[in-house]
Amino acid sequence: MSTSNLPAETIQVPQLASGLLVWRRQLMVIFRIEFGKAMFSRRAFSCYALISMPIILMLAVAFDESRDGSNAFATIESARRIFGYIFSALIIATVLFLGNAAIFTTLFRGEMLDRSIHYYLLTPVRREVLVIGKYLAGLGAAFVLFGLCTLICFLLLYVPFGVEQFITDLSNGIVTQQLGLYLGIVVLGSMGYGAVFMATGLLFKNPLIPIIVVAGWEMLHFLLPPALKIFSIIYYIQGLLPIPMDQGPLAVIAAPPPLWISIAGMFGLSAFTVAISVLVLKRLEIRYTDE
Amino acid sequence: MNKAEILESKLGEKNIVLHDLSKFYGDVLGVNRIGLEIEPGITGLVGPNGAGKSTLMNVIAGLIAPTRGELKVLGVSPSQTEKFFGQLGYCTQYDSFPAGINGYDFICNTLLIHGYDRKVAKKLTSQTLGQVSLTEAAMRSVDSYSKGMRQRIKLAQAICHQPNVLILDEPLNGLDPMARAQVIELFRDFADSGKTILISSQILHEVDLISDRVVLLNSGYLVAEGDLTNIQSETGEPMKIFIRSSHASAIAAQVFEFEHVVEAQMHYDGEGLFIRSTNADAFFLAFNGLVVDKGWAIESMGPADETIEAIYQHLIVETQVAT
Repeated sequence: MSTSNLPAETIQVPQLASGLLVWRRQLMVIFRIEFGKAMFSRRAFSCYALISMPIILMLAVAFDESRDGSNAFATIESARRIFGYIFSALIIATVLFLGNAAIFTTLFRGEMLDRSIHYYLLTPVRREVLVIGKYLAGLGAAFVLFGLCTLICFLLLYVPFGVEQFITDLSNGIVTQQLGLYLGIVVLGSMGYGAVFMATGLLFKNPLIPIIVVAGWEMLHFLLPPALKIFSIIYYIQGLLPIPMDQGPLAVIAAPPPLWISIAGMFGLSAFTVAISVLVLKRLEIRYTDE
Repeated sequence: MNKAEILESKLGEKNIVLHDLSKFYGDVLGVNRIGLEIEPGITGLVGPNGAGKSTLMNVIAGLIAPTRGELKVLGVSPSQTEKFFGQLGYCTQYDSFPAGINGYDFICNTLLIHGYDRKVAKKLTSQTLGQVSLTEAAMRSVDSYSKGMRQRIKLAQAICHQPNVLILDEPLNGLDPMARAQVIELFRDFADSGKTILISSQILHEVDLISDRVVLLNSGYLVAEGDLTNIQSETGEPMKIFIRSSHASAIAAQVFEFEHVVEAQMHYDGEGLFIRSTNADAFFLAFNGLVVDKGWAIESMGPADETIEAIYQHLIVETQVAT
């Protein structure tokens, strides 16, 4: 033991604040830690791989068109439509779904597998604060990753048409309106999928099977009767899409919900599922031998 | 008030209270019907593998819920999360850490989650890392730490918020002798300031050295608890006493007149003898009178086997062999 390791002077610890101030501090710390893990840990690699898919696709389409002049993006309207399809089919159905599964299922399950969740549970943090802190951190990371992906893809849409077209659409409000809707969908989708997958990670030792079940439910939602469609996240999202989603010839058509129902429904679903996670966490017992 | 006086004034307080506490994992018994009241000071938790030590510690630390019974730490139950975990520190047996974290952030984050502001958390982090001799390695990833360093950083995480009750599951594992001595001194300081430590270890002589009291568990049941002398007398096992005197032969001839003396054996140098008595208190009383009557010079006298190891041997190992 070296002399530099001698104990520091004992300090007087001030009385801990209580109530809202502490909860806010705890929430911010948990958010910072978990956001860092979701963005920069090894677990985040799968998300980076996912978001690169639509970007590469958009790059290929945009630059291919500009090279040989055969128009995949013949007009700005068709380009917006193609982007709408890519957003529905690739960004929502694949990137947002799988990305949120990767981020949110590991919030608790990952730490159980690492055998490090007990460090959180040994601190005087209310389980509600812990769940909300982790959820918001996951949501923050999801928005940064998938929002950035959406933004880049949307901007790539303008490559064949040049800056002038972009400035015209910006001044007409088309860019802000459409981009706002797409980013709003990313937030709402992440809220819904995130809450479901966080609960899944707490409830199931192997979340893969429930993820597949949820994926099946979401993929087949267009075949469901209207009474069951309301239990599907995609149902709330599709009403917000600037370019309506192509549901295929077999779809049971139901009118998409109004905007306020989409937003309120997603908030309600998220709050309900986050509350379930709190209840599960409160009953959680640390027995890593089971993992 | 000095440390000894603080501890003295705190004795009698029941900081950890378990009432008829049981934990079952399905049909498998963890611990059964444990009733315990643990005072300030150091209490050693001893038992063979599978005795239920870690289960009991996990229950007391609020990581698992008892199947039956009640638990209070400083009058607070684990369901009162903020109060309960604010006054309790737990160094678990799990040798795992958040991925990629360094020692400093590990402790600082723990304190921030406790609710301390950043300035206080930083000061406490530096202080705690100093206490466990990890100041120099603070910025290294915990993944690169040796076993002993990982043990010390876990200990730092348990003590950094200066809890009143400290639960330590095999805290001396992996420590070199110097670190061991330093950590034991830390425990002693902690206990002397009126706080409560519950410590489990397989290294019996170390528990023996540092514990004020012991709790013996076997197969999920509480076998014995209290200070070593009480346990020894409660076991009914003859107590071994060593007497060093130049009159050892004469003493040996006389002590057989006491009905509770079952054995007397001369020390190889002829200047001492071992006596086995079924009633140590009665022996000491009668022997004092004999010494005064005969005018013998007694150089020293004391229990020769009043150690956890001896009690453990009698209560647990011999019972297991017998069954």
